[in-house]
Amino acid sequence: MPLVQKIFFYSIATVIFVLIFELVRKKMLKEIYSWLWLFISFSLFILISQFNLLVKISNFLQVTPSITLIFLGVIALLLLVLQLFLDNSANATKIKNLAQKIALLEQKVKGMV
Amino acid sequence: MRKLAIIPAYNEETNIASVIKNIKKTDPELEIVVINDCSCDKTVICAKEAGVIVLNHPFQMGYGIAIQTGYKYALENKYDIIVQLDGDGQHDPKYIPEMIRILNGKATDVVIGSRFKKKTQYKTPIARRIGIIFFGFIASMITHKEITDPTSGYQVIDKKVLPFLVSEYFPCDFPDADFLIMLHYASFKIQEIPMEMYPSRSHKSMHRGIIKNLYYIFKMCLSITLTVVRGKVEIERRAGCL
Repeated sequence: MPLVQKIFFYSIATVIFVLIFELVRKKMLKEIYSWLWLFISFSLFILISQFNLLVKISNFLQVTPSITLIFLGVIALLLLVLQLFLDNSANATKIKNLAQKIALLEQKVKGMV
Repeated sequence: MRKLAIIPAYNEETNIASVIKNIKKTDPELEIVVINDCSCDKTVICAKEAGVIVLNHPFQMGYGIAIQTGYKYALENKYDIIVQLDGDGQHDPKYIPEMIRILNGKATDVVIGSRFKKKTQYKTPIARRIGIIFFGFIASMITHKEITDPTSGYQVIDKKVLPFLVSEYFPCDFPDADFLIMLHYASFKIQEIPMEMYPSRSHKSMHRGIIKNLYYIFKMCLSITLTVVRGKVEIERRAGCL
């Protein structure tokens, strides 16, 4: 892999790692959402440093190593989106139940007054 | 025997009072609860002036969730029979005694009012009619019962169905053919009866616009497929656990 590309991907991995770490530290991001990001950043480090592994995956996919990294990045982002959708669906159910409970409790409280 | 009518309402200030009045005239013993889905008009005032209980959603959540709130109210307050009808004046309360009589016959758990079981004056846009026929056909095939109006919101429900209706199995987006199939899989008995319905006085529909219609078709196909895949055993077991 050319040095420029290596520096570029190392930089991305470092930025992701530091950014996520800081966001979690400042309580702006919950730990539960951080693990996939940190895993992506860690995987990027591994793939760049273990170039042979990246070449093997690239040969399997029949593309160049740089394309493999971008391709894996897209898959990782899709996984992140899926995680958000799952979470959003669970939250929608919780909000619905909560709102229904508010409506029922409000009626109960009014009946007591 | 305690009976409750649940009326989901969103911006129905022009209709809600007359709907309530007609229900009271038909069956004075029927208690009524209006589920106000965060209306921005005088629906709440009109309903309260008509002397009924009003449950207010803190924000708008849609028809399906509104009726489920009604089911939850009925379950909490131990009602025996639940009459569900729309707040826009489409449903004539004169059918309520007959529907309750059929329900009390013990052979049925859910009685549904159908616009299409017999020829009536009711006019439906052609695209919607095709959708109703298509999904009604699928529901009929699976339930082995003739379902002509899977979108009907005019229903009378026995209390034993309530735990199932307040569960997460209830399709809050559009309770439709998928809901009837779920009821069938949960071993509840459904029966349709023919009735005349009036055009909605508020001219609102859940299925307005191309995007909403396409989503409705997609959602219904997905939901029916998932219901069939989950199968009778899982849904029956779930219903039994509730």
